[in-house]
Order: sequence, then structure tokens, then C-alpha cells
Amino acid sequence: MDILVPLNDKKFLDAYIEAGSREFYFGFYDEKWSEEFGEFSDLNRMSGYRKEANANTFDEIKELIHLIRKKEAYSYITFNSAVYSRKEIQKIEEYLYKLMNNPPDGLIISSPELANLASRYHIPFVVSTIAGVYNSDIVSFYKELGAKRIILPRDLSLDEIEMIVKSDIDLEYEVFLMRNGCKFSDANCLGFHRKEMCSICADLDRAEDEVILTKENEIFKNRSNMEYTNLLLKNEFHNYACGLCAIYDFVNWNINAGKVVGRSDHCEAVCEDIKLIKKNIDIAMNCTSKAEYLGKMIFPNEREVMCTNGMACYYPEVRF
Amino acid sequence: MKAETCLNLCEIEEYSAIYPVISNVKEKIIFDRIYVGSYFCDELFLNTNYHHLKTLLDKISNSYKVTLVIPIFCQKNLKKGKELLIRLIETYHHMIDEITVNDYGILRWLSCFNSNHSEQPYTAYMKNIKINMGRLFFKDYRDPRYEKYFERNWKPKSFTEYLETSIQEYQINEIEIDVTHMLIDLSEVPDCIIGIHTPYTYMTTGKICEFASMFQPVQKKLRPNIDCSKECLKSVIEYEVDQERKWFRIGRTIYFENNCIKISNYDDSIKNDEQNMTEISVRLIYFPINELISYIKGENE
Repeated sequence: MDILVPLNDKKFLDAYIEAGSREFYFGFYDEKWSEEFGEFSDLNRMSGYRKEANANTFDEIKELIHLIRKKEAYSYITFNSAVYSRKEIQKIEEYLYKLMNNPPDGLIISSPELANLASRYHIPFVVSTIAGVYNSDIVSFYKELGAKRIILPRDLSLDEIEMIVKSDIDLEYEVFLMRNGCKFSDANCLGFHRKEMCSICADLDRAEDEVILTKENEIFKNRSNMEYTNLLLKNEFHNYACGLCAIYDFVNWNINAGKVVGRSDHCEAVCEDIKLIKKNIDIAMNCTSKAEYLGKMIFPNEREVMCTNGMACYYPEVRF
Repeated sequence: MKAETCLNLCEIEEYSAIYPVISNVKEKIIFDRIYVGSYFCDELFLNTNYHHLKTLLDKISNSYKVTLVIPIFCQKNLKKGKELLIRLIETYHHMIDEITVNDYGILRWLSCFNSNHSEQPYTAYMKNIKINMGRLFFKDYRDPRYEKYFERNWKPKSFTEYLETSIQEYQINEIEIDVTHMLIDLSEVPDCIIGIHTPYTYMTTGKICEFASMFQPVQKKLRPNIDCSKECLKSVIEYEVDQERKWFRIGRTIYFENNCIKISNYDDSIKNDEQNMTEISVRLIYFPINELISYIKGENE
């Protein structure tokens, strides 16, 4: 299993490779795109964070693709806004035309529209978590369109991931491993991710709220359980997320890549995560059972915060 | 404009208060189609008591047309979900004349019935049923916190060439959109019925259910797709995100109120093309959240 990480600055490339990563994903910004389609039009899901999440221009990412290839690593470019208009799709077609002679190893795309476009320009594509591939029928749909790899949503259980992966072993699969969690579905969360305001999940966490129970449900025990669950969701769930305990399964199911998210996070922190994942992949590959791996694996820093009650786990069922 | 009003009971059809809520709505709105099932939750879809639901619908009237709404099934529920869908169509084919689906996987699966030569009775029913593309296909951003964006006259981006091809390929009867902005420009609509969800817009949803977690031990709370006892039918959460509108969590989904349905260019485009008058139509799909909340709050007072 390779480790896929966000790359925002080419000066970190060597450090990431040395730490153990071989796959890199990134988007780009284009002033002309914003001029043509307006400030609320996203080239990718993180465009709202502007250069913090997409530090490079289109020309710069072409160089980056070349550089990554020279280092025998892999590059993936994100076109994963939840939606694109007809005109935006035409503009993306112009980018793909320019990428044809020096294509990345994959385009991370969010919709069938872009799948067709990628195929037209003979650029392999990876189906983003924004597409919501929750089951093997959706996998088959994207396979027919020519998908190379499927990124499985972070709100699937391990059992479901195994079922999907085993339903079609010809495709590549990618799973979430480190950094940011999500309280909703990447595929159907349609508020903005932008610099000016936090995302809607964070706003809901901060908002005053009222739990309204129906008359037959209005007893102390129910209200107390509901309000406590609400507090956990708001204050503790996925403040940070980690999937290290699931690495043994992922290695054994031949998952192709484990993803570190956080396109605007610091290089040093990402580097530490890569090293941790790499060590655990190595441990998993030398273990003969899951129990052995779980006994030998290295835990994240701040274990007392990260590993209590499963609130920071992508896949809590491994331990709890 | 040829507009039909429909009642959306998805997600809330098994609330104990649903009958008085429907009676309340009937006093204000004339509707001739009811949407049942779920857009957002496969657990709810699988665990709904359809026999009771039919009794409820019979109690309202026996002349409503019914659209059955199918959520995106996660892998563990995929087989069961498809089996239930077939069973429901077989059992209630005299009532259900449409299904609304919400992902390309199920759309592709349904299209297989057209080339299926099996003599099973359900094959004929499945072939004949009309198919709608539900609101989860249409992912235009909606975010009223950004006034500058929200107050625009919005031409849905989702109406792409690929959508037109899909409408042809899968013989889509209706597409369903949310009112993402203050004003929606329907000057370039695909050739099918346009369903518009009102007066609430869904903003986000997911596979993690706060309500289903309420009786779970801490370490098992907030996991995706956990089995439940439909706890969502007994609780709602209201948020004060801003002063302008109401925000609710119903089941797995967050909705904001957006009741100013203004559609620009649509009437004009129809007038300019008389021939389309009979072919294009709009459905307003009314979700009675306000009535439901009022009832629950009143009941508790």
C-alpha cells in the first residue's frame, strides 16, 4: 500500500519521499478561471481556501508532474468540485488538452461528466470521494466509464470496504488514513469550504441548538442520551482522524493507497504522519495475524486523546 | 407553467404525528402525488413498515399517485435494498407508478430490466415503472451563509450535457432539484418533469446518524450505517445558525428553510414555445417540516 499525501509546495517533495510517500495529489489555481466563472466557482473542493490549499498555477503543476515522475513517484490532480457547469467543463477540457503530452498518473474527478472527459484525453482517472462510491454497483458504473482507481468514502465500515474491494479486484482502491475526519458525507455536503467562514459542520457545532423530542419520547433517559450524543458529535467526534489500526486489513486486501488529507496543513506534521504510516505498513507486512499487528503497531502521538472511545477513529470497529 | 403539487413524506412518514400533519397540510394545499421512502437513509428505507404506510395512505385517500424514493444503499444494505425494492414494486404496483433513485449505480441496475427477458411477474412491473433522478444527483452548492452567492439568480450547473444524455439513456421521467438560491433560472431545462423541493433545502447529509447512536454505548456511537430502531422518528434538532431562517436536523440530514420559490425565465420560455406546454411541467414537492415541528412542539406544551 502506497501513502498518498497532499503536495502544496515542491520544496517538500524530497522530504515526503524520504519519509515514505510515493503518491502526491494537488490542485491548482487559475486567476482566469475565477475571472470567467466568479469567486464562488471551484476548480476543486478546496478552491475556497485559495492559495493555502492550491498553491500552484497550472503551469507550475505541469512542472510538478514532471518532477514527480523523475523521482519515480506518482502525481494526481484534483478536479473534484461537487458540480461543474457546461462552460466550466469546457474550460477543464482545455486544461486536459494541455496536459495530454505530460499527463499526471491520474485525475481525481468527482462526476461522470469529467470521467468521460478524462477518457477522451487518455488520462487515467480516479473517482473522488465526492462521487460517493458507497457500493459495488456504483463501482461498476465508474468502472464502465474507465476508472483506474476508486477512493472509498470515509463513512464506510471496514466490512463494507472489504466487500466492495473483493467485489472487483481489477480496480485500484484508496482509503482514508490520517488527519481530517468528517461528520457528513463528502459526496453530499453542499455547503462551501472557504476561507471566509468555517464549513457548515463547524457552524452547526457552534450554533445554539435545541433537541426536540416527540411526546412519547420525552422522558429523562431519552433526553439525556440524545443530548449527550449531540455533545459528543459537536465536541469530540473527528476533531482529528486516524485509521492506523486498520492498516493490517488494508495491506491484506491489497488496497493500493492510504490517503493523508489536509491540503493546507504544515509539511512537518504531514511528514510525521507519513513516517508513522510507513512504519505501520512495514509492521503489518511482517505480521502473520491481525492480533499480532494490533499488538505491535505504533500509535499516534497524543494517544490518550486520539485512541480513547473511538471518537478520532476512521475505523473504530477494529478496537471497540 | 403547468405545475403540480406533491407531498413529500420521505424521512417522516412514520412519525406518530404524521396523520394530523397531513390533515393540516391538506387544508392548505391540494396535492395529488405523495413521495414515500427515503432520500437519505437506507436503514430507514429498509425498516419502514410499508403495510402501515399503505394503511396511512388509504386513510388519506385512495386516489393519490405514489412515488417511491430510494436512497443510496451502502454496501451492507445493497442486496437487501434491491430485493425490497422489487418486492415493494411487485406488491404495490397498483399504487406506485414512479421510483426516484439517487445514484448512478441503481440507475444502471434498473436499466438492466429493460433487456431482461425473464418471465417473473416483477420484471414486467420493473420495466414499466417510471424513473426519476432524485435530489442527490443535483449538487449545486447551496449556502445561505454567503449572501452574495445565495441571492443570485441561479441557473443550475447540474444541467449538463451528460445529464441530458442520462435522461435519454435511462428514459428519465423527472429530475428533482433543491431551491439552492433566492431565485432559480429554469430557462434551459432538460426535457422532462422538473421536481422542486420546497420549502426546505437540504444542505448536508451523511451516513452517520446522531439519533441512531443515542442508545449505543459511547464507544459505538457515531459510526456510519449502524442498525437502528428508527430513533430519528422521535426527535428533531433545531439550530440557530443565523437569524434569517430555520435550520433543522431530521434523520441524517441538515435542512435550511428557503420558502421564497421564485423561478425566473421559465414562464417566458414556455410561452415562446407553445408546443412544449404539454410536455414540460414543474412539480413542487412540499415537505411539511414546519407543520411537523409545530405539532410536536404543541403536543409537548
